[in-house]
Amino acid sequence: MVIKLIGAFLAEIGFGVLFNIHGKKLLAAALTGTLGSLIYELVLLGQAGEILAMFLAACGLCFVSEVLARLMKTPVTTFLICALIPLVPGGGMYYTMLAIIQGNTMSALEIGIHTLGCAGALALGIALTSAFFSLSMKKS
Amino acid sequence: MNNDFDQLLQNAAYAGQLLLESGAEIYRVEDTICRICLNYGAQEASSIVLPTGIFVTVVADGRSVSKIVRIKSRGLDIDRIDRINTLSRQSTALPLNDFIAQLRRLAHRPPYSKVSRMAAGALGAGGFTLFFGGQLPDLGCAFVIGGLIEGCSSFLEQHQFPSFFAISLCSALTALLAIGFNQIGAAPSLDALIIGCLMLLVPGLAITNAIRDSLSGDLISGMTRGVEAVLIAIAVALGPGLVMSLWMMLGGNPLW
Repeated sequence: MVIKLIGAFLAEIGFGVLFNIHGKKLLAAALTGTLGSLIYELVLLGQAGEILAMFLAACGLCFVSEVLARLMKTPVTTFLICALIPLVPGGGMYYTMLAIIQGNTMSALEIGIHTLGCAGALALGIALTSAFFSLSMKKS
Repeated sequence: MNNDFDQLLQNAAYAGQLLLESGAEIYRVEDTICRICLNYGAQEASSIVLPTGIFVTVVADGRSVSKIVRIKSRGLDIDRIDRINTLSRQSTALPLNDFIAQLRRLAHRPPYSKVSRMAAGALGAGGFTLFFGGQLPDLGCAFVIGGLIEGCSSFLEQHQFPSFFAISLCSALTALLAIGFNQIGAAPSLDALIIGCLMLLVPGLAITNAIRDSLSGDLISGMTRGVEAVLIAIAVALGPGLVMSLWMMLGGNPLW
């Protein structure tokens, strides 16, 4: 798991440069993304399903992004877009495609729907957390 | 006075154009345009922003002026979004001419150099190969493929190659190289290598913006970007799918 997290951190730095983030914000974005992967891995360790893990990780990283954006006075997307990348179900997309070219329709459908579920959980987690944040901002 | 408002309108729309082309959310573009106009003395300003265009109307001295800007290129440049956002918030304390000068300077700020972008692509692909369970030899291959893919995709983008085909082409190239490395024995875990490199092409920006736009009520843009995300995902899967089925058809060694 440590190797996985190191991989995620390095990849995040690379993506931050591709998205043109500089300096302190680059480091913060990479750490946020690593935190998201950490939550994901920890929830998976606790025997929970992949979709739940995805949802909780999305909530966590969105929360941290919103807080950091207010602290560093920068748009939320600076951290969010970068931190989201490791959770995008690229593996699911690939295995769906693999099952399709193997002519294995049933498992393609199974993996495909699971992948869609993961993407949905990711979207829902982010939507929910940022909705709560905009609610609390309007009150104060 | 009229001249001033013309200039204000031009530059507010220009700021909006820069933001939208850098991948900002719709509400941020609309808010920024209106904030700039109101800060420099317009009585009323409203803007409608779509992913492909900007409409602004400013009311000043009892007359209204409008402008339409067509947006064609869409990239991602977070540093520029951040700086324009900050500049527009400071604009209450800044004369219009200074504001315009600073905006022009921001527009011509160079991004990271090509070499460092390729290195970043290599690092991204390598990191994700580790993340998806690759081993050390895979890491080396991922560095090579990641750098190449980044160079290839920015070359295609410069020559305005249609973006979905560009993505398919890059992902096909990824699969081809990965299979090549795998066959000569340099990359033991083929799946991890391909997935890690493909992560460079996944629609992270489209997904994020689809969610944020739908949340803030910009339904048209939310839907467009959602569809864009699905199309990109299909394009990403298409390339390796084609390469791998061709490989099997032409009688290559089995890959799984």
